[in-house]
Amino acid sequence: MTQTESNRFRISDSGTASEIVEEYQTPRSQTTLYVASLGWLRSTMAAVSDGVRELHHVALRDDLEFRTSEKARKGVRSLLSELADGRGLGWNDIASLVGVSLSAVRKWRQGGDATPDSRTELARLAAFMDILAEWSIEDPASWMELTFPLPSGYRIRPVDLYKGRQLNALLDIATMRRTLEEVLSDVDPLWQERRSQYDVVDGPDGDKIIMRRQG
Amino acid sequence: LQELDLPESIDALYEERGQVPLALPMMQGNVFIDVACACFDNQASMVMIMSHPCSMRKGAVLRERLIVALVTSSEVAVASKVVKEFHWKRNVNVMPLPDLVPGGGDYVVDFREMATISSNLLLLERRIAALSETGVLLLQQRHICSATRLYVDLSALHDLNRHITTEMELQRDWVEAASGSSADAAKHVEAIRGFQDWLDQDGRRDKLLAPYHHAGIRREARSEIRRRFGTRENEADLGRG
Repeated sequence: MTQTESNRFRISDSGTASEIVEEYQTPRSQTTLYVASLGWLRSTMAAVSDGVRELHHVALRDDLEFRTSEKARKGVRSLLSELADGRGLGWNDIASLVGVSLSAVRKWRQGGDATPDSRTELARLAAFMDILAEWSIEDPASWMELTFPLPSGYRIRPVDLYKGRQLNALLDIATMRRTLEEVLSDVDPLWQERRSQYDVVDGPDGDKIIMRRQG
Repeated sequence: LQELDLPESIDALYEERGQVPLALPMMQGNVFIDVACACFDNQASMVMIMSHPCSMRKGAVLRERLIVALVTSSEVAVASKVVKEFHWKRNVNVMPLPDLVPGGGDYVVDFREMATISSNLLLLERRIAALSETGVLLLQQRHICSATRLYVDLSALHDLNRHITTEMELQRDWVEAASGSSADAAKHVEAIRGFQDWLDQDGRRDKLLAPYHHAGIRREARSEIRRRFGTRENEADLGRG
């Protein structure tokens, strides 16, 4: 059964070619109703999905904060040992992830004091590595150093997102809840403009060399 | 207009300044004072190692000659605080070295004043600074641009240098654990050989070329360091109760 309904396009003030669109009847078949229902369902699901994602992110933040406060009971040197000896992070990475200089980390290793903020950041990093491990990332420190699988010339690594404090985005990628491109576009809309013109490849002597990217 | 990159802060530029620990491997970007050689008119000069890390050593030993560049304060008068950013972004012939000397002292390393000198002239006790990983990348970018007019982004240079950074970091940890604060050069050389021998075993050196293996090699190296030399840091922890 086909229903019809009168329909008339308005001629907009801005002027389109609408004057040549004549009055027409919108077809109302089962398929049309099906399309409308699915459209509504999709919009609703998207709204629910966004809402759930936001709630999930809030819960993740709370969980990380709780874990961080638990970790912060440890001393600075214990935290450093956990991150370096246990997880296998480099001193340079620890320094940049925590947001301090390498010499500050060396000072801590030798017994120097860390500010409460720095200690909290160390604890947060240790807690974050635990979460990654619990979420089936076999070797969190290795994973943090990987270059994301993007077309050649894009050198974005998990450590870069962590340094930008995009921890939830990073967890979304780790758990494959969202695609890499989707997350990157969310946190850094200009990421595609930062493509290196160079590749690092094996050189003639067996060592790596830099070569201009082909294509 | 393609400008050169600049560091986030002065601290980010250096790994060490002042008294540089002997255990820190000799590396591109190290600065030495009182180096007298014919190429610099036999005057006691300040120089920076420019040789690329891959071509500095024959095995565990430094090559007999290394390339250095003159570190000078002659352009610093121009590089006042106001125009410092100009030098970072636009002056391809130098690299600013702000606050190189504790207590004040801005210098530049000048890529137009380079020479090959005997590595015996580069005495560890005269080493006054070492660039950080970021500092070395900035140095390489400027040096390439000065020599070839080619701009290479830091991310490509970082990829190229990752295995070197990891190796140097682990060597420092190893030598520090083996030699402590000893000034005995022979002890340091022995420790460096020990580390390099360890790295040559079980395909570790090849694994270093793949960043995915770095965390594993670090864990393995630090465990080996504890096994061979114990851990001074933990002893200090215990001492403090």
